[in-house]
Amino acid sequence: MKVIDVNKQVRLSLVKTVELVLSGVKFRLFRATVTVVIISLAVAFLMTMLGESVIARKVASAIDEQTAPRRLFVFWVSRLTQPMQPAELAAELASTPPGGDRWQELKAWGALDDEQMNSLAETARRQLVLDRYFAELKEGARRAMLGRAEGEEIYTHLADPEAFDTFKQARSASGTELPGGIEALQSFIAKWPEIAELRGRISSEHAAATEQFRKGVLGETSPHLYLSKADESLLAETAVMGFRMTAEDMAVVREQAGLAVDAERIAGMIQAPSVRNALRVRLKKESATDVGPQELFGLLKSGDGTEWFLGEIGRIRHRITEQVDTPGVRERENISQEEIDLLVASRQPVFAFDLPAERITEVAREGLRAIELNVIESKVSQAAGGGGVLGFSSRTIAIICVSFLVCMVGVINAMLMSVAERFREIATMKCLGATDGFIMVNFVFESAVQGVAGGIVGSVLGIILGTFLSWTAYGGMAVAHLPIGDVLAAAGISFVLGVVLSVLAAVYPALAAARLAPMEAMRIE
Amino acid sequence: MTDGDETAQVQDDAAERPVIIRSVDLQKHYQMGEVTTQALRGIDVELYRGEFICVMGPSGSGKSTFFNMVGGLDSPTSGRVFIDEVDVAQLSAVELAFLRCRKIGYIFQTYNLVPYMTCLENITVPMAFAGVSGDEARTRGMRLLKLVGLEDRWFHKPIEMSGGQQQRTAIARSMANNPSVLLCDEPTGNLDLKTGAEIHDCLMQLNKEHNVTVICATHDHRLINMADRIMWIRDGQIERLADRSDVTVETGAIEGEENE
Repeated sequence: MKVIDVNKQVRLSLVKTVELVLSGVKFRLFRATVTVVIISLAVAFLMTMLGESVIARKVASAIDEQTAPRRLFVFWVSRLTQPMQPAELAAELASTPPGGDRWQELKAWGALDDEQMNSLAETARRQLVLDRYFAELKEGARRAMLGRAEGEEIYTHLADPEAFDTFKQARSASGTELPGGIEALQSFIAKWPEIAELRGRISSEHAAATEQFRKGVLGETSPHLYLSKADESLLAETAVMGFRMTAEDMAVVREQAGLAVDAERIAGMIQAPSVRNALRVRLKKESATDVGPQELFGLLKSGDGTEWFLGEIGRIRHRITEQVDTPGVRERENISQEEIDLLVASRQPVFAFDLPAERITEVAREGLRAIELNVIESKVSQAAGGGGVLGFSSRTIAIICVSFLVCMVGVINAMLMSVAERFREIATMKCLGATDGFIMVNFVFESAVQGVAGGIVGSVLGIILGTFLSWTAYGGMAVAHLPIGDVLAAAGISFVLGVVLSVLAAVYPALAAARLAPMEAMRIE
Repeated sequence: MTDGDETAQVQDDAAERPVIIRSVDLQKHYQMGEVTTQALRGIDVELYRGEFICVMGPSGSGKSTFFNMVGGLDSPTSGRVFIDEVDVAQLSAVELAFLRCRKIGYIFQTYNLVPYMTCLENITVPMAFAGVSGDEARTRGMRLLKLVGLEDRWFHKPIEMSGGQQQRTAIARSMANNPSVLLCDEPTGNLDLKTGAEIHDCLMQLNKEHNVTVICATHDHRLINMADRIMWIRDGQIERLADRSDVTVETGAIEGEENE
């Protein structure tokens, strides 16, 4: 019996395979288009979400940068004048870098050594975890475990062995997972009195320092006003009380304080009824209560607006001065008794107002910017804060996976239809000598080509859509700070996933096609 | 193969030409759920190299199953099929593909050309599978097209050709790798009488001039007229296998057509 020498069967060259596949694709363009559309939809969806997330993250960091000066200012004002809340202290201990300025401040106030500071920092971190655990308990479970204790009380409450036993039982009944375990909690509670004492030392020293600052340095002046005029002597004064303010800090604080003070002056003008009235008319508002600082700043951010404002003030001053001196005229003109009294009692804001036009415009713009950034920040923190993978909640990931699965099903369906349509052709190819492997490669390759096409279209679409959505959500900042590298990386990922999707989807239909018996081609009767 | 078979073959050779396809107690049954359909119930036959044989039989007779066996498209449930002395049942999938590519040419009732390829490209597909280089494939292809009389239509797509031209293209394709056997399933089934005649002539030419064995399943009397032997299959067995000379065939004439 003869044996076939299969060596003579040369494998089809790659070029030839590509040619055959491409001419096939051209022929079946409609079916291929459907598949490409499905894939590009899946890819575009993924890319839009990735793009939005990436852009949101970038915008968040840009906002962070831009709001840093103001945040520093707010921090210093409260640091210098307000005692710390326990929660504040715990948070600061948990997160401040060791050896930095804040660290040194706290250490000095508490008269602690490095070891104690480290221990405080670590226990603060543990406390945050426990706090979150307790906060997330459902009401019923919490009552059972902790009675009425809340916040830091919980740790003193659990020091009592009976209460702790109750807690243990209730916890295992509740089925929740205690982070760190029971032993860790016990050792934490055992340490708690010491921790509380050390922290108390820090807070009371700090409170004393703030008292000293308020009485000794500020006196009657408001903090904002004082800080707006600060110079090097502030550094020395605060250092004595244990604060560690750097020269850069002070420069920033001074500038921000100046802006705050002037903003308050400008906003204060709205108190004067005549000014408020004039504004109401100019801004075309229904009632005087609709005129607030934001509206005023909106007007003053332009040079024209400022000009008008100053002119109006001048008019009012003139009117009041003139009229007050003329008895009887008060009733004729619309000047309120309030205004007269104020004028008489003290220098009225209308008269005290002495800011130049450029400063007004500058302050107004800064004020509006701060409001704008606030708004964007709250939107962005929802998007970028997410945690999870790449900032996506597990819910979002589930949705994306489902969408990919659905599209995969669609592609499998389209390919199966293609295979069914081509029964004859496949079987004929087999009669002509095509191996199973060739048929399979044919289909998978076709699918890969569609995947590439769909991936490109989808990525581009996703980039455009993602950028557009971010722009509508966050305004010009999204485009101005576009993180091109990240966006392209995200596009690359989406593209690759699109190709993978279509190749995977092709496996089953390709196998079905490859297994087709050639006798399908011969349909006698 | 045992000595006994060889003796038989020598005896055959003494009388006849060499055998190209042989089946020994060929059986095939299909399992469709609970029902077993016995398609072939033991077929013993020898087909000689270079002959023109027509296979006839009513539907359900096992004619198509027999074709599948003989054409290397399916394997028997029991019994053997030897194509050019190679036992088909022992071949792997790749080896079977090789067989189909080089040894056997197929011609279908529905032509089965690739619709998005030109005439010439269609013909060169089997050559591509056989590893023939592009240039040589095209040269051979043009030669084959000249053989069937289609050389000026080499660039046409199937959709631009008539049924007869498509079938001639299919015939040229089937000859691409110089097969020893041509399997034809109702080649003139979709064609009118006049174009059918072109096909007859074509097949005749291939059979006589190129010594290609032609196995035809057909109801066309003119093809039967041209055959060397005729086989009838019924109920999965050979009902009758006769030489052409032993059979009377009448080909009718439609007025004016017969003369062509």
